[in-house]
Amino acid sequence: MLDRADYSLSDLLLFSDRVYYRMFELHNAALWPLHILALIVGLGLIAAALRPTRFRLRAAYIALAVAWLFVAWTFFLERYADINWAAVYVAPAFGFQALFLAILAQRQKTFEPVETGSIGHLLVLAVLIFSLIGYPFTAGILMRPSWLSAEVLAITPDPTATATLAILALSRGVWIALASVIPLLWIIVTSLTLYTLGSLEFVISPLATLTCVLAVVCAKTRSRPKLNG
Amino acid sequence: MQIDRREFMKVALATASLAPLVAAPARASPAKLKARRIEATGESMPLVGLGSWITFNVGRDPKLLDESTKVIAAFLAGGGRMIDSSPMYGSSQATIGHALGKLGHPKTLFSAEKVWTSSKSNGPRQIAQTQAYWGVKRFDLLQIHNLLNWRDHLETLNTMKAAGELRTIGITTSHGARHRQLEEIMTSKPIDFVQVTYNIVDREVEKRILPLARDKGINVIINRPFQRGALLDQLKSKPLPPWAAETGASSWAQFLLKYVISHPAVTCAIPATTRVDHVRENLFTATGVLPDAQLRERMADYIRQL
Repeated sequence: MLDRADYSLSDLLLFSDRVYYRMFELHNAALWPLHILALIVGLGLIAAALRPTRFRLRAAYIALAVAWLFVAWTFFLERYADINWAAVYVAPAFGFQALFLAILAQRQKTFEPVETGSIGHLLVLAVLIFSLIGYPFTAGILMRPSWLSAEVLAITPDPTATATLAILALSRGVWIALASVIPLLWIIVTSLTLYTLGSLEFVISPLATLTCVLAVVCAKTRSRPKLNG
Repeated sequence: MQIDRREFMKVALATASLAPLVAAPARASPAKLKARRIEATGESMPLVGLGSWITFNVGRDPKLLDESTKVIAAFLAGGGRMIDSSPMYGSSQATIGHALGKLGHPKTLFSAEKVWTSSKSNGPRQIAQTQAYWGVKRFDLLQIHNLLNWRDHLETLNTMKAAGELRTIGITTSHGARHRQLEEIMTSKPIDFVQVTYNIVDREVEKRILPLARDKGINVIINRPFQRGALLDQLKSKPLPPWAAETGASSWAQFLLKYVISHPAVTCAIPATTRVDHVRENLFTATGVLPDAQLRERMADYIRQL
């Protein structure tokens, strides 16, 4: 539909920062108290990453698959599509990511995690903890007009994407790299959106992503132990 | 344009019932709004309309829907007529429909919409959906948004106009790069309106589009008169020129809008806003003095020097 030459980045921003933040506020209000369940999922991801076994990583992938599907439906189709027609095109991508993670969870060869206690492992844990606690603190209490508009892991897309990249960074392989594509693309989109809205939040997801990349680079230089479970 | 007293009272009462609106210093009387003639219909159109880009895209947020309704109510109660939107603008069409429903669909409204799809067959479907959003049976103006698939849509719109399903036809662009193509269409096709970007620093249309529109009797709608608010942001810390009173302006918003609507080829500027006091100030700009050509040049020079 779009002729690229006819539109600048700001042309494609259809809403104000006020409407954008209010959308998260209404979304959180509509889904409460599912945030408690989301917190449990987040703690489960951290627990799985602390001592990764095949079983735990498989559970983490399945939990993330459910989170991506949930965000696709409740956030993109039911909420964001109200103010951004492009959201209906993003929702299937999130659904596909959910399917991809669910399939990867079934593959025995998927999981060859990094060495626990390594720098790479610690960086992954840092991103996961940030996705669970730091995200609602920064993209909520610190940088938004109301803490009620906070971004929450498994409820909204940004922390879900960064947590997914962190869990993926615990393993290696072509399939893992492919499973990182949609989260990375989303992080580019969300960062451009926040940049165009004039919010400093636009640096958060890319910084978390860079930390995941650093984790992968650091982990590559170490030997990987065999997994239990 | 003379607004029917009953219609005015209807909108005013609907406005009053929504919420107590704060009195604003700049408040236009509907009877005093300067207007220009729509060539195709003979009716007159106040020089200031209401855009909806970003401002009315509020989704289903009840608080923001209420606020948007107040803005539209103040606009119509102040004598404004043209409200412009597009399928591209998210939920803006539904927001306008929500407000019009609350206000009892005032007859003074001049509904300006757009068709924005690359598919010819999808055009009528999109227009029907847009009518449903607004709650209107036909639009006063349908424009082809950003010249997208303009040949096919022009055919559709001409058919609709001939069948009485639409009053006037227009084409829009917000990009200087497409002005040459717009000129060709203005020269070769029977259109009633063009919508272009024009403000005190984006003056490209003064060279060819506006003179051509006057020659051909095509009405002109102006979008982005404040350059999406960027001009107001840049100027807010700067002083108005000491001679600003000569232009009839007492604020930067009035100064910038006076510049745009005082061009004789301009029919209506459509600034968008989320605030009742701003919509009133915009309407107020269409009253009183309008700068002449010499003063307009002085205004542009002043801004250039800043």
